[in-house]
Amino acid sequence: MAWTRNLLFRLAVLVAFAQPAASAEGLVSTKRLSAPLAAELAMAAVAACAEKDYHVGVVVLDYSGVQQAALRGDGAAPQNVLNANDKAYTAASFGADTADLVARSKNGAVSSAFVKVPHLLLNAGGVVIKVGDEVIGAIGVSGAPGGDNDAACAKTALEKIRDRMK
Amino acid sequence: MRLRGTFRGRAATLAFLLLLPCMRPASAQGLIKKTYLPIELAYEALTTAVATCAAQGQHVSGVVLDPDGLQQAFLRGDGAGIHTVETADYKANTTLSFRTDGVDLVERSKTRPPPGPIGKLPRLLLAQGGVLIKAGDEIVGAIGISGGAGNNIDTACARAGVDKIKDRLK
Repeated sequence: MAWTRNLLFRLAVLVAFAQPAASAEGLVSTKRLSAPLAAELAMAAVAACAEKDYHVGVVVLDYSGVQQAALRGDGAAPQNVLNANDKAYTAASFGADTADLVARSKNGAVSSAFVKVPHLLLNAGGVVIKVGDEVIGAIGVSGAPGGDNDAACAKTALEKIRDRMK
Repeated sequence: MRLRGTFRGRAATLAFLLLLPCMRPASAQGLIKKTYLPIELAYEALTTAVATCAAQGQHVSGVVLDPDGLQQAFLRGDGAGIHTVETADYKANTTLSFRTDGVDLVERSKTRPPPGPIGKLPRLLLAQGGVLIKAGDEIVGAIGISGGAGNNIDTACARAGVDKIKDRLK
C-alpha cells in the first residue's frame, strides 16, 4: 500500500506544480470601465427606460461583481436597485446575459438550483459589458414591466458608450 | 333661559370659529409634501464632485441620499479605497440626520462633544465630507464624498457638486 500512497503523492505534486506552468504569468491584468463611463452608462439606462415611462434602478458592476455605479431613477423603489445589482451580478458571474440564462435554464442547460446562492437571480435584465470577447463587467436594470424591457434599456445604454470602451 | 342658552351657543360658536384658524396650521394637514431631487440632478452633482476630486489627483467615492436617507446615486471613483464606499454613505447620512454639514459637526464637536451613545449608532460618522443639498430652506438631500487625502478636500469636492446644480433647485 505504501507504493500506492507514494504514487498518489507524486501525482499530487505533479498536478500541483503543473498548474502554474500552464499559466506562467504571476499577475493577471483585467479591464473595467472608468468611473465616469460607468456613471454615464447607468444614467443612459435610466434615461432610456424613463423615455418609455419605465421607472428603474440601475447598477453597473465590474468583472468581479463590485459595484461601480448605482442609480435609483425617479419613481423607482429601493428594491429595484437591489434587484438590478443581482441581475448584473448573475450576468457578470456567468459571463452571459441573464435573458440567455433564463432560456438555457428552461432546456436544462443551466441549473435553476443556483438561485439559492445569494445574489444570483434568474431574471432578464442583466447584460454583460464586453470588450471583444472579454467580459469586463455587467449592467443590471430593474423596474420596467418585464425583464426583457429592462434588458432593452441596458442594451440601448451600452450602445451609447460602446465606441469609448477602449 | 332661552336667551342665555342662545348666548352660550353663540359664544361657543364664536370661540370655535376664532380658534379654528389657529388650530389649522398646527394639525389640520392630512398630508406632508416633500421635495426630492430628480435623478438627473443627483447624477450631475455626484459625477461633478467625483470628477472635481479626480482632477486634483484625489481618488474618491460618493453618494447622493434623498431626504429620507435612501440612496439615489452612487459612484465608486477610480482608485478610491475600498472603505470609501461606506464612509461616503455614512457621511451623507450623518449630515442629513443632523441637518448640518459634516465639517460644521466636526467644528461643533470641539466645544460640544456629542453624547457618547450617538457614536455607536450605525451609519453615523463624525467627519467632514457630507454636505446638505437645499432648495431654499428645505433639505432635499445630501451628498457624501470620501477618499480625499487632506483637510476638507472631500467637502470642497462635494460643494463643487452642489454648486453645479444649485441654480436649478427650484
